[in-house]
Amino acid sequence: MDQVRSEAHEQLLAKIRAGLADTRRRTALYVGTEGGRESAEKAYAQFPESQDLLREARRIKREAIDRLDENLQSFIRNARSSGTIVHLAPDAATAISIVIDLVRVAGATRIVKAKSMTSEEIDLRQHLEAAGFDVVETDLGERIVQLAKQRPSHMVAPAIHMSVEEVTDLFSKNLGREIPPDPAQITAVARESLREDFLNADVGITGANFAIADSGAILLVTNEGNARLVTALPRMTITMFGVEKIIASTTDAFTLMQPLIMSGAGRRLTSYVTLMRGGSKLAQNGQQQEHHVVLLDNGRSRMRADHEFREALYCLRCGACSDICPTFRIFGGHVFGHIYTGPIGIPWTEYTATPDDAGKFAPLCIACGLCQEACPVDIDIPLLIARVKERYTESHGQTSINRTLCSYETFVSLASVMAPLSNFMLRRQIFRHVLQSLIGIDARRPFPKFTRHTFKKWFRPHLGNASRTVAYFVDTFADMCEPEIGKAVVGILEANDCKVILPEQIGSGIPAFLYGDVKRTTQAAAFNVRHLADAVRNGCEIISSEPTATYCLRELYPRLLGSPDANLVAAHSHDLFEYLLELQRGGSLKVARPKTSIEPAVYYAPCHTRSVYGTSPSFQVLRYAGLDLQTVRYSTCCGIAGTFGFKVGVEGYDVSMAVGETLFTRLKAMNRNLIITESSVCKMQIEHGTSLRVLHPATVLWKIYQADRAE
Amino acid sequence: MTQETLTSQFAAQLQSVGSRFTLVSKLSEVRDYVGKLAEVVQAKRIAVSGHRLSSLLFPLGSPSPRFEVASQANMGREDFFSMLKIVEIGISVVDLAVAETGTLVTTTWDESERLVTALPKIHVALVSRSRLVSSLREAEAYVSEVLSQSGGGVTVSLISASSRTADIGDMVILGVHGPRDLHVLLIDEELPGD
Ligand code: SF4
Ligand code: SF4
Repeated sequence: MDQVRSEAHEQLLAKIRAGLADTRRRTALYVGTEGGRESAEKAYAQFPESQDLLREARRIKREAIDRLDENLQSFIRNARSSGTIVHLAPDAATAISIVIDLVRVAGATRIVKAKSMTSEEIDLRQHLEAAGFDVVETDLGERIVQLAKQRPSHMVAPAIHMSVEEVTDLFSKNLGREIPPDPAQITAVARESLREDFLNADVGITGANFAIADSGAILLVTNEGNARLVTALPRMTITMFGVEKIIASTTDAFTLMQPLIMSGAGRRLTSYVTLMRGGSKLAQNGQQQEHHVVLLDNGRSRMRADHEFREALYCLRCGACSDICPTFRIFGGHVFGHIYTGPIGIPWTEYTATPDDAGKFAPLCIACGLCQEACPVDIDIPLLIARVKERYTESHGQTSINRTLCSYETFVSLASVMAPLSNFMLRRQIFRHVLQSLIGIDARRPFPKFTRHTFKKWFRPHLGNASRTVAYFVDTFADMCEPEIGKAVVGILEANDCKVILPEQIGSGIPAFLYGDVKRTTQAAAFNVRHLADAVRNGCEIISSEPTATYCLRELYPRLLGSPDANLVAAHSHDLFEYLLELQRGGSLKVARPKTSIEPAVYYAPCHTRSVYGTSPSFQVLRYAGLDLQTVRYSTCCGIAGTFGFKVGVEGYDVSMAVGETLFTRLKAMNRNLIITESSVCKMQIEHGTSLRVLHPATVLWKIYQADRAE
Repeated sequence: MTQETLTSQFAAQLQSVGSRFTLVSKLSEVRDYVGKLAEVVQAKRIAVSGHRLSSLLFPLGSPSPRFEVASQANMGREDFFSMLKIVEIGISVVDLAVAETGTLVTTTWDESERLVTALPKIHVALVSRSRLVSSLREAEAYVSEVLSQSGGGVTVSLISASSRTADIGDMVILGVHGPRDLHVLLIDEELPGD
């Protein structure tokens, strides 16, 4: 089934086109997300036990979701015993009518709200306004988007997409006087006007960051302190949140709030963390405040029943996945989102709205995998997004270009067999225009060179009495485009006393994953795991030299197959340089010092190698080997994302080049002519974007070995 | 950890987020500090949280003709609430302070006490030296107990900095809703918990 020119897809392309052209918004988003990312990194850097904390955080959320029913009952019991009135809302409509009834019965007219994604989810403010109530958002970012009649574009920073000038205009209009375009002065004006709202409000509405089962208390995290006023001043407060926010104990809350705050606010703790059990005595008259809790399900139980999507409920709503996502950083949540925005917004939309709502913006995900790395509770967001795409294409059909690119590996084999004719053709503009108009591959994107003298044809196992045997899982590029990489890998391993074998294998299947053809990827996974598991059982460790291949073996295949063999293969798979680094640490790395002059180079870590807060092994090994190597400061993806950057115009190429822009500028500014990176697609992108030479670290290291031997 | 290292860690954490930290030995120094502060910022009204603190700190009412001292000890609830809306400085005692994170832990049952720390532009917090603990974990044990033992109607506030936002142009601006300045005085004397 072909989703040729579907309306939803056309709308997405139109938004992409507009987003790319809106440079003011792009700058605001870039500055905001980069700031979020950097401050989070700093916060973690100052906290040495963060790895243990993150593991513990994931465990707590997993158990909380596993024992949700039990925790829910205990929360309700304990909240009631503190005088809180608890309401259960299975869906949005019920939640809305509960809140409207409460406000009405209380005879209230004015409502102040603190930030709550859950109330956004059900359009609570809009419904209250329609029912005639006066509702004011008090979080400054929320207030800005309310005045602009927009939705939040980021979970933590709702107005991240807006420039200072836009905000100035909004407040000037709202207050009917000229306000200078200065954040400090706008904030001061907002304080005054919102203070009136706080003091006059009858009802305060907030969400919850956590709800604590064993005491019935609510925990709220805020820097502004607006939630304190929302909960302290009005005579009635309503706390509405999703059932996934319930956790067992105060101890758990103290653990979870730390990664939430470090990832979300980039600080050790926010200015305020408030824990409330029931309504307190009111300042104005000494009476007990009336406190209601509305517990929302709205798709969460179904999400929980889905064994893969269940972990999306671990989300702490820190927004870190958005800050690192290459395409989110360009478009923001108004394009990359439905109501829930950013990477995790895709699986959340699947269940709290509809699969159609999710499937429409899911193509913005280019499967770089960075969101999972940034996620403090390690949610496999890329897999969940691939499932959303899969379901969507199953019901709506696949675009023909995506379908073609799912078979990219077949295409490469063909081009290799047909080389050098294929190379000749792929360099002819006239042929490229045909490819562009017929298939949708952008004519500006250079193809790699293919060769019929593939690595696999070249390879022979060298018998001998090596102390270890390793199996090489070679990627398509090192096999059919640049066999020198494969040869270098074998050379380096053999020089380090390893016998190299090449078990039966096919391409990783990752190109299909990008477009949601998870079945095809799963088939490739099954084939490769079957043969590699045999190799492991025969005592081999598995080595790959392409980050995406390592990612497949270690992360993706076990998730897709869930079999003991897949776990076995994962446990024995290594990136080449990680393997060499281990040897070096054990004192057995045979490395030559460079006697040839290898020019000073810049190292770029591809997405799939980046453990966000560490240094990549190839960088360390090359440095150890004496190379003059620097890294480039850059936290997101280079933009090509496999085959995504091959697609014509706004379908891929334009977005991919926009994503890479900052990287290109920074690389060029480093004034070195050689770039080193292990990813074949990053190589293509960087060569295209900078005209600099890009080599695989194995090729460089092998040169050093060879020079040493020649001595 | 020695008292000195705890104290300097606490001070460093507070200062790293722009809060003021001062060591004092007795209540009279607090009185002087507040008096000077009021003069510098030209505050006309100061609110003190809790009966006992205000009678200890200002037993004879305001020490200066330049500012008024409001507390529930010297006025009725409604008047105090009206004052809260306009006071420039709020003074409170905290239950615990955490050196590791520079956090103040307070427990309130009456919102007028919490509002003393939430409405004014300046919050002055007093911490007895004996209440300084080293880690968030230690504070957590205390918070757990407060929450589970109170029948309800209790709020625990962890305050680690003054009120701030970065919602406009990604620039940090202080005092968006609550206090713009946080002054923490660590005092050798024991203070009353109301
Ligand atoms: S995988 Fe990459 S592109 Fe996709 S949502 Fe995650 S960060 Fe964004
Ligand atoms: S998915 Fe992870 S990174 Fe994204 S908001 Fe949730 S907790 Fe944060």
